Amino acid sequence: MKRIEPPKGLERLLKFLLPERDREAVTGDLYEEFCQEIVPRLGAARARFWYMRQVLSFLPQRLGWVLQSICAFTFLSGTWLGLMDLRLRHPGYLQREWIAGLIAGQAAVTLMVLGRRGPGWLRFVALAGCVGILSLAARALVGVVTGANLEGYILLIALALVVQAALTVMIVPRRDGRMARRA
Amino acid sequence: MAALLGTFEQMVLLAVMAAGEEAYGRAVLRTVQASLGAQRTVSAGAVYATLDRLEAEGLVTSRLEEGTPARGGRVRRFYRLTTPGANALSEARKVLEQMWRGVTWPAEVMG
Repeated sequence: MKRIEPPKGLERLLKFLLPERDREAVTGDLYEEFCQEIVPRLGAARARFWYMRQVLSFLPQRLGWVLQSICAFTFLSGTWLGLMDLRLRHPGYLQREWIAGLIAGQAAVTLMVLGRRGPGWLRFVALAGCVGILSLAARALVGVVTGANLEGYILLIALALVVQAALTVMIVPRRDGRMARRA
Repeated sequence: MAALLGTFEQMVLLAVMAAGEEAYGRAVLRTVQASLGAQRTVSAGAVYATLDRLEAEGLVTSRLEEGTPARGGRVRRFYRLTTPGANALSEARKVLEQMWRGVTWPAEVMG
Protein backbone atom coordinates (compact mmCIF):
# COMPACT_ATOMS: atom_id res chain seq x y z
CA MET A 1 0.00 0.00 0.00
CA LYS A 2 1.26 3.44 -0.85
CA ARG A 3 2.30 5.55 2.11
CA ILE A 4 0.33 8.77 2.59
CA GLU A 5 2.75 11.66 2.87
CA PRO A 6 2.29 15.32 3.83
CA PRO A 7 1.10 17.56 0.95
CA LYS A 8 4.13 18.69 -1.05
CA GLY A 9 2.87 22.25 -1.48
CA LEU A 10 2.37 22.72 2.26
CA GLU A 11 5.78 21.21 2.93
CA ARG A 12 7.35 23.72 0.55
CA LEU A 13 5.46 26.54 2.29
CA LEU A 14 6.72 25.29 5.66
CA LYS A 15 10.31 25.30 4.40
CA PHE A 16 9.83 28.85 3.21
CA LEU A 17 8.49 29.92 6.60
CA LEU A 18 11.31 28.31 8.58
CA PRO A 19 14.85 29.58 9.11
CA GLU A 20 17.34 27.46 7.19
CA ARG A 21 18.78 25.70 10.23
CA ASP A 22 15.36 24.36 11.26
CA ARG A 23 14.06 23.30 7.87
CA GLU A 24 15.12 19.69 7.85
CA ALA A 25 14.51 18.95 11.53
CA VAL A 26 11.06 20.54 11.73
CA THR A 27 9.77 19.09 8.46
CA GLY A 28 11.16 15.74 9.62
CA ASP A 29 9.36 15.99 12.95
CA LEU A 30 6.09 16.78 11.22
CA TYR A 31 6.61 14.10 8.56
CA GLU A 32 7.15 11.45 11.21
CA GLU A 33 4.12 12.46 13.27
CA PHE A 34 1.94 12.82 10.18
CA CYS A 35 2.75 9.36 8.81
CA GLN A 36 2.94 7.41 12.05
CA GLU A 37 0.29 8.98 14.26
CA ILE A 38 -1.99 11.42 12.51
CA VAL A 39 -2.94 9.53 9.34
CA PRO A 40 -3.79 6.28 11.19
CA ARG A 41 -5.75 8.23 13.80
CA LEU A 42 -7.58 10.81 11.68
CA GLY A 43 -7.53 9.50 8.13
CA ALA A 44 -5.92 11.10 5.09
CA ALA A 45 -8.21 14.11 4.61
CA ARG A 46 -8.23 15.27 8.23
CA ALA A 47 -4.53 14.55 8.52
CA ARG A 48 -3.89 17.00 5.67
CA PHE A 49 -5.94 19.60 7.49
CA TRP A 50 -3.91 18.91 10.63
CA TYR A 51 -0.71 19.42 8.63
CA MET A 52 -2.00 22.71 7.25
CA ARG A 53 -2.71 23.95 10.78
CA GLN A 54 0.80 23.03 11.86
CA VAL A 55 2.31 24.89 8.91
CA LEU A 56 0.21 27.99 9.55
CA SER A 57 1.40 28.08 13.17
CA PHE A 58 4.82 29.10 11.85
CA LEU A 59 3.36 32.07 9.99
CA PRO A 60 3.44 34.69 12.81
CA GLN A 61 7.23 34.42 13.23
CA ARG A 62 7.79 34.88 9.53
CA LEU A 63 5.24 37.67 9.44
CA GLY A 64 7.15 39.49 12.17
CA TRP A 65 10.24 39.38 10.00
CA VAL A 66 8.31 40.65 6.98
CA LEU A 67 6.86 43.50 9.02
CA GLN A 68 10.32 44.46 10.22
CA SER A 69 11.40 44.63 6.61
CA ILE A 70 8.40 46.81 5.82
CA CYS A 71 9.35 49.06 8.68
CA ALA A 72 12.88 49.38 7.35
CA PHE A 73 11.27 50.37 4.06
CA THR A 74 9.26 52.99 5.96
CA PHE A 75 12.43 54.42 7.40
CA LEU A 76 14.15 54.66 4.03
CA SER A 77 11.08 56.02 2.28
CA GLY A 78 10.35 58.47 5.06
CA THR A 79 13.88 59.82 4.92
CA TRP A 80 13.76 60.05 1.14
CA LEU A 81 10.41 61.82 1.15
CA GLY A 82 11.59 64.13 3.88
CA LEU A 83 14.62 65.11 1.84
CA MET A 84 12.46 65.67 -1.24
CA ASP A 85 10.08 67.73 0.79
CA LEU A 86 12.93 69.91 1.99
CA ARG A 87 13.63 70.76 -1.64
CA LEU A 88 10.14 72.10 -2.18
CA ARG A 89 9.93 75.63 -0.91
CA HIS A 90 6.24 76.21 -1.02
CA PRO A 91 5.12 78.91 1.41
CA GLY A 92 2.02 78.80 3.55
CA TYR A 93 2.13 75.32 5.01
CA LEU A 94 3.88 73.64 7.87
CA GLN A 95 7.60 74.03 7.87
CA ARG A 96 8.93 71.25 5.73
CA GLU A 97 11.94 70.76 8.00
CA TRP A 98 9.55 69.83 10.79
CA ILE A 99 7.62 67.39 8.66
CA ALA A 100 10.79 65.76 7.35
CA GLY A 101 12.30 65.58 10.81
CA LEU A 102 9.19 64.10 12.31
CA ILE A 103 8.79 61.49 9.61
CA ALA A 104 12.41 60.42 10.00
CA GLY A 105 12.20 60.59 13.80
CA GLN A 106 9.05 58.55 13.95
CA ALA A 107 10.52 55.95 11.62
CA ALA A 108 13.67 55.80 13.75
CA VAL A 109 11.69 55.29 16.95
CA THR A 110 9.60 52.62 15.25
CA LEU A 111 12.76 50.83 14.14
CA MET A 112 14.17 51.04 17.65
CA VAL A 113 11.02 49.52 19.05
CA LEU A 114 11.05 46.73 16.50
CA GLY A 115 14.76 46.10 16.86
CA ARG A 116 14.83 46.00 20.63
CA ARG A 117 11.23 45.00 21.31
CA GLY A 118 11.93 46.65 24.59
CA PRO A 119 9.83 48.22 27.30
CA GLY A 120 6.19 49.09 26.85
CA TRP A 121 6.76 52.81 27.21
CA LEU A 122 8.94 52.81 24.10
CA ARG A 123 6.10 51.24 22.12
CA PHE A 124 3.83 53.91 23.52
CA VAL A 125 6.26 56.66 22.45
CA ALA A 126 6.41 55.16 18.95
CA LEU A 127 2.64 55.03 18.76
CA ALA A 128 2.27 58.58 20.10
CA GLY A 129 4.82 59.73 17.52
CA CYS A 130 2.80 58.08 14.79
CA VAL A 131 -0.39 59.80 15.94
CA GLY A 132 1.39 63.16 16.20
CA ILE A 133 2.92 63.09 12.77
CA LEU A 134 -0.31 61.75 11.33
CA SER A 135 -2.16 64.81 12.56
CA LEU A 136 0.55 67.14 11.22
CA ALA A 137 0.52 65.44 7.86
CA ALA A 138 -3.28 65.59 7.76
CA ARG A 139 -3.18 69.31 8.56
CA ALA A 140 -0.69 69.89 5.78
CA LEU A 141 -2.82 67.87 3.40
CA VAL A 142 -5.86 69.99 4.10
CA GLY A 143 -3.78 72.96 2.94
CA VAL A 144 -3.02 71.47 -0.42
CA VAL A 145 -6.18 69.51 -1.09
CA THR A 146 -7.60 72.12 -3.46
CA GLY A 147 -4.51 72.39 -5.60
CA ALA A 148 -3.07 69.03 -6.55
CA ASN A 149 0.62 69.75 -6.60
CA LEU A 150 3.70 67.65 -6.04
CA GLU A 151 3.86 68.51 -2.37
CA GLY A 152 0.35 67.18 -1.88
CA TYR A 153 1.30 63.85 -3.40
CA ILE A 154 4.42 63.65 -1.29
CA LEU A 155 2.48 64.31 1.87
CA LEU A 156 -0.14 61.78 0.85
CA ILE A 157 2.54 59.12 0.46
CA ALA A 158 4.11 60.17 3.74
CA LEU A 159 0.70 59.85 5.37
CA ALA A 160 0.30 56.31 4.06
CA LEU A 161 3.77 55.42 5.31
CA VAL A 162 3.03 56.76 8.76
CA VAL A 163 -0.21 54.78 8.96
CA GLN A 164 1.68 51.70 7.87
CA ALA A 165 4.36 52.31 10.49
CA ALA A 166 1.70 52.77 13.19
CA LEU A 167 0.08 49.50 12.18
CA THR A 168 3.47 47.82 12.19
CA VAL A 169 4.12 48.91 15.77
CA MET A 170 0.76 47.57 16.84
CA ILE A 171 0.85 44.33 14.87
CA VAL A 172 4.38 43.06 15.43
CA PRO A 173 4.08 40.36 18.08
CA ARG A 174 5.59 41.08 21.45
CA ARG A 175 8.57 39.04 22.39
CA ASP A 176 7.16 35.79 23.64
CA GLY A 177 7.33 35.12 27.33
CA ARG A 178 9.56 37.95 28.49
CA MET A 179 8.29 39.34 31.77
CA ALA A 180 10.87 41.91 32.71
CA ARG A 181 14.42 42.89 31.93
CA ARG A 182 16.62 43.74 34.83
CA ALA A 183 19.76 45.81 34.67
CA MET B 1 21.99 39.97 35.30
CA ALA B 2 20.03 37.85 32.85
CA ALA B 3 16.39 38.55 32.06
CA LEU B 4 13.72 36.79 34.08
CA LEU B 5 12.14 33.93 32.16
CA GLY B 6 8.57 34.21 30.97
CA THR B 7 5.94 31.59 31.77
CA PHE B 8 6.04 29.98 28.34
CA GLU B 9 9.83 29.88 28.35
CA GLN B 10 9.77 28.21 31.74
CA MET B 11 7.31 25.61 30.43
CA VAL B 12 9.47 24.86 27.41
CA LEU B 13 12.62 24.56 29.54
CA LEU B 14 10.84 22.28 32.00
CA ALA B 15 9.57 20.15 29.11
CA VAL B 16 13.12 19.86 27.77
CA MET B 17 14.29 18.81 31.21
CA ALA B 18 11.43 16.30 31.63
CA ALA B 19 11.97 14.72 28.21
CA GLY B 20 15.64 14.08 29.01
CA GLU B 21 17.47 12.40 26.16
CA GLU B 22 14.32 12.40 24.01
CA ALA B 23 13.82 16.17 24.01
CA TYR B 24 13.20 17.00 20.37
CA GLY B 25 10.72 19.62 19.11
CA ARG B 26 7.53 17.56 18.92
CA ALA B 27 8.23 15.82 22.23
CA VAL B 28 8.62 19.22 23.91
CA LEU B 29 5.42 20.40 22.24
CA ARG B 30 3.51 17.32 23.45
CA THR B 31 4.76 17.77 27.03
CA VAL B 32 3.78 21.45 27.11
CA GLN B 33 0.39 20.63 25.54
CA ALA B 34 -0.22 17.85 28.08
CA SER B 35 0.49 20.28 30.93
CA LEU B 36 -1.96 22.83 29.60
CA GLY B 37 -4.73 20.31 28.94
CA ALA B 38 -7.29 20.30 26.16
CA GLN B 39 -8.58 23.79 26.92
CA ARG B 40 -5.59 25.54 25.37
CA THR B 41 -3.80 24.69 22.17
CA VAL B 42 -0.07 25.22 21.96
CA SER B 43 1.19 26.41 18.61
CA ALA B 44 4.01 24.36 17.13
CA GLY B 45 5.52 27.53 15.70
CA ALA B 46 5.66 29.16 19.13
CA VAL B 47 7.44 26.14 20.64
CA TYR B 48 10.08 25.91 17.91
CA ALA B 49 10.63 29.69 17.94
CA THR B 50 11.04 29.61 21.72
CA LEU B 51 13.51 26.74 21.50
CA ASP B 52 15.52 28.67 18.90
CA ARG B 53 15.56 31.75 21.09
CA LEU B 54 16.50 29.80 24.21
CA GLU B 55 19.35 28.23 22.30
CA ALA B 56 20.53 31.63 21.07
CA GLU B 57 20.54 32.79 24.70
CA GLY B 58 22.56 29.76 25.74
CA LEU B 59 19.84 28.29 27.96
CA VAL B 60 19.60 25.10 25.92
CA THR B 61 21.96 23.41 23.54
CA SER B 62 21.09 21.17 20.61
CA ARG B 63 22.56 18.32 18.62
CA LEU B 64 21.51 16.76 15.34
CA GLU B 65 20.95 13.09 14.82
CA GLU B 66 20.77 11.35 11.50
CA GLY B 67 17.40 10.85 9.93
CA THR B 68 15.55 7.57 9.73
CA PRO B 69 13.24 6.28 6.98
CA ALA B 70 10.30 7.09 9.29
CA ARG B 71 11.29 10.77 9.01
CA GLY B 72 11.90 10.66 5.29
CA GLY B 73 15.63 10.63 6.03
CA ARG B 74 15.56 14.03 7.69
CA VAL B 75 17.66 14.88 10.71
CA ARG B 76 16.26 15.20 14.22
CA ARG B 77 17.34 18.00 16.56
CA PHE B 78 17.57 17.12 20.24
CA TYR B 79 17.71 19.78 22.95
CA ARG B 80 19.36 19.71 26.36
CA LEU B 81 19.21 22.13 29.24
CA THR B 82 22.48 23.97 29.96
CA THR B 83 23.75 25.15 33.35
CA PRO B 84 22.70 28.77 32.66
CA GLY B 85 19.29 27.39 31.64
CA ALA B 86 18.93 25.48 34.90
CA ASN B 87 20.03 28.58 36.83
CA ALA B 88 17.51 30.76 35.00
CA LEU B 89 14.72 28.27 35.80
CA SER B 90 15.76 28.14 39.40
CA GLU B 91 15.85 31.93 39.67
CA ALA B 92 12.41 32.30 38.08
CA ARG B 93 10.98 29.78 40.52
CA LYS B 94 12.62 31.49 43.48
CA VAL B 95 11.24 34.92 42.49
CA LEU B 96 7.71 33.59 42.07
CA GLU B 97 7.81 31.62 45.31
CA GLN B 98 8.99 34.71 47.15
CA MET B 99 6.13 36.76 45.72
CA TRP B 100 3.51 34.09 46.44
CA ARG B 101 4.66 33.94 50.05
CA GLY B 102 3.58 37.53 50.58
CA VAL B 103 0.13 37.11 49.04
CA THR B 104 -3.09 36.42 50.92
CA TRP B 105 -6.09 35.58 48.79
CA PRO B 106 -9.06 37.84 49.47
CA ALA B 107 -12.17 35.96 50.67
CA GLU B 108 -14.26 36.94 47.62
CA VAL B 109 -11.68 35.46 45.23
CA MET B 110 -11.41 32.27 47.26
CA GLY B 111 -15.20 31.78 47.37
